[in-house]
Amino acid sequence: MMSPNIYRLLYKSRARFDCDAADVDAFVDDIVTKAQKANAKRNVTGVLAHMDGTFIQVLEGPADAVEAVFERICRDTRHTDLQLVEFTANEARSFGGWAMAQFSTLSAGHPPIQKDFLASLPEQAVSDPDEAIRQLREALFEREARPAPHTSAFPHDFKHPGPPEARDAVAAAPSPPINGVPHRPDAIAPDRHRSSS
Amino acid sequence: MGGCAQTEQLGGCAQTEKNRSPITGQGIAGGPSMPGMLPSWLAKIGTRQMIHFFVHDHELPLVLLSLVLCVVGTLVTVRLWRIARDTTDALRTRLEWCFLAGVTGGASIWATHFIAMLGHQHAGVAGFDPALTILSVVVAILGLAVSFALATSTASHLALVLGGTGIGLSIAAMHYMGMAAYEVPGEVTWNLPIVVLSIVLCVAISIAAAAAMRDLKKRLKIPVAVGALVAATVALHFTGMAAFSVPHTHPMAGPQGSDQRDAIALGVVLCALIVIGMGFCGGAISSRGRARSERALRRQALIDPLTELPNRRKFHQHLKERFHGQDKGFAMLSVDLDRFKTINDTMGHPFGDKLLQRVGGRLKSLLGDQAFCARLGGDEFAILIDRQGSLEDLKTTAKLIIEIISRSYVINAQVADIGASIGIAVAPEHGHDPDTLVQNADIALYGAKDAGRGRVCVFEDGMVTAAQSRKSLEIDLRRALARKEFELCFQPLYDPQSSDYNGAEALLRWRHHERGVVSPADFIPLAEELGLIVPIGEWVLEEACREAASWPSHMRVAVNVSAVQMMSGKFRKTVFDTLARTGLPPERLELEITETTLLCDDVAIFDMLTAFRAAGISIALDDFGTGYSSLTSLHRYPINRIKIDRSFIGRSDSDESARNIVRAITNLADVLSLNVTAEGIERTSQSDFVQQCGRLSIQGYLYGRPGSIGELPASFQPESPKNGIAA
Repeated sequence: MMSPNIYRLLYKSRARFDCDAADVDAFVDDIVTKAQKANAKRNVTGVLAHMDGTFIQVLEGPADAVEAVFERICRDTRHTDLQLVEFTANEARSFGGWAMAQFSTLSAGHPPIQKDFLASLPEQAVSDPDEAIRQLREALFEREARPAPHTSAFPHDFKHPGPPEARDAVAAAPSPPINGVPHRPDAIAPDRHRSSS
Repeated sequence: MGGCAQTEQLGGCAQTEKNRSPITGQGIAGGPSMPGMLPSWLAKIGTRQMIHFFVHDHELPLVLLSLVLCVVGTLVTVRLWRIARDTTDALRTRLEWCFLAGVTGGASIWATHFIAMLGHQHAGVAGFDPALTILSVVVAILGLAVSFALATSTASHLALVLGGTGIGLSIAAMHYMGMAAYEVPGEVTWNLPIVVLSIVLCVAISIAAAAAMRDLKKRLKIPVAVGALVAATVALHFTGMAAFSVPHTHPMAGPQGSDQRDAIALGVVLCALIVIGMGFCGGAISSRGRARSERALRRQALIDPLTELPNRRKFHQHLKERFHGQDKGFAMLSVDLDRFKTINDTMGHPFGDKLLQRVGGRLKSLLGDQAFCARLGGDEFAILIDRQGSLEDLKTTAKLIIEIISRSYVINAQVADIGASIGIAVAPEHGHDPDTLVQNADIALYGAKDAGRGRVCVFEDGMVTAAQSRKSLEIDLRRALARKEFELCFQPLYDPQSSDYNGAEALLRWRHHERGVVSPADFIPLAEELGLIVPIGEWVLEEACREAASWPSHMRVAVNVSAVQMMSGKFRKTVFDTLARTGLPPERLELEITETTLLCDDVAIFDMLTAFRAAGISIALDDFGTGYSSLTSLHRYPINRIKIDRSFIGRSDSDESARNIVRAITNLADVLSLNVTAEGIERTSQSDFVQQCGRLSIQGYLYGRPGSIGELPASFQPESPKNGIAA
């Protein structure tokens, strides 16, 4: 089956309000919850990384769906300094398994290596978006304790990319999966899963 | 059932043997004279007899059923009649509505008559003549259709009377033909005066109905017309029945069983209801469609279809209301998109339209109900916003609007970036009336754009003066060509190698009758912005070439060309046409362009310059050394001369680095085989310095100030011999 072109959009923004942790958390939660609902319907996948009031979000999917999601984000006044970094057509999705994966410096339980990575992400995303996306993908797979397949071999649809063990971990997760994938990968708490083993 | 008794009571006594006629009705025409008969029939129909007639002659349920049918059918018919009246469509459409009204009216009147007749027990109906029955319906339908067409043709009295009469006659014709279709055992007799009376009554009431349709108020039209037509039908039927009598020799013959009669009644009612129902649907569909299209039209008049925001007309309406409404204070934000025109031109108009839709969507979602936002046209939007906080709050809102509009747009998988400038005027401080407020918001917007776009600018009184002086300069500039206020002067170009002049640069002067000589620095940017540079440039080129054509053959003329002029699309043709017209050889024309022109990096410009060079025209790059001074430009474009900017020459006496730059440029030109002109030579020291640098042309006060044609040195005289010039 021929896969349609997958468009990928990366933007960077800051939260307009002062960086009160609780407010930002609520904002991030709101973005992620809404995004996951809407994105699953529109066949959009991606990742949102939040670093002390700065956001990097990747949206990928059919052109019109990405356009619609991004337009909605542009109308949101809670963002400021919103900057479209990259909009490209690709063969495959980079975050095919996630309606909207999430990284946040505010969330507890990030391994130290990810903290360093997140701190450098805003600059990286602007200077070399492709490398930033690659690193995000790796960090995500690492967190989910699944091996990251090569992008070229990555399925474009919503098939679960992980090995059977990882799927079991997902199935044990409290939140119901969307299209067979977890819609809040961080809610699965893979770190806890790992530490208990 | 006292059929005989009733016959005697109602008709029998008034009938003479002579006009007793069979049902064919021919006898009616030959009845006794009316005048003699009227008093006698009036005497015969007393109140008691009428009561008897209704209560005993007619079976009440069927009479009521026929009445209901009559009212419903007439209501639908009259509604269709009104649609036919009101339609503004073609004649054909009106006639079609009249026909539909005729069909509905004819069917309902016929059914009314038929049901009533079934309930008319004394008639002792044995059967119907099918041909005549059908004919009666057809006559009713066609008669009514023609009558409606007549009544709706014009608003004249004639149309009203003819139409009304037609309606009455159609009802009467239907009734009496229907009566003739009854097969009644025995001979039927008619009371002619009553027949005539019934027709006159029916016609008169029908005319009244037509008058009601024409003259009454909207609300009364339909009820009155329906009432009148029902009255006409009822009056005709019952009066007409009073004129009808059967001899009592054949009481109740025929197969009129009650069940069979009810079955026929049911069938007729159903058929009539179907016809009426279809007429109703036709009318309803049309009315609803018209209502919808009226709503749509009203909406279209006030809403911009692209963004679905209120349009300019609605905006002005709303603004007026706000001023009338003693509003506590509000602000107008005049919003103009930056770079929209470029995107619209390069990415296509459908893309531009989508972009405008997105901008409208963002404004709507940002402002919501808190502000009134309209699209005034093109890429112009206007916002009316309540003044709740300080002016700073207003500015913050405006900046937020700019921020949201300036975020990237992804449309059809393409990214577009635009910006916005906003001018703010606050009511009532900056305008007590709509026009002033709008004007001042626009002045502030102009200020915002002038300050570098993407900005918010609040109106200030000082802006009016600036805007006015700009406006008046604009008006004067527009008139300057026609008033022949432009002059051309020439500054000679000196060639040190031959120690003689080898040409001159044409310079534009504007001598205004009040302003005096206006500096090109003041009016050229305005002329470029207004597009006036194109006709002005054409004039300059024409004059310069014409003048230079009279100079000795080694003299060239340099003419400045603006980027706007070059991109106007017809510049190439203008140049070649002008050369052909003035007879100046192309080798003697030099076009001076600026780096701005080349920055457009347009294929068309490259092609044009190449064509000029191929024809022998020189291309000089003006003010070299100041702007980008891109070596790529020198390399890529067919340029054959550079002009060193006067600022370097001016500093060359005292500034070693300025001297170095001049040396570098001349070296560069030497390597690239380009000619060089040094501008602004005022002193001998400067002249000596540049001559050391290399082979170049010299231009400056030292060798001649810009002057009118008459002031040019003698070398420019036609066929003048070469003269040495003492520097």
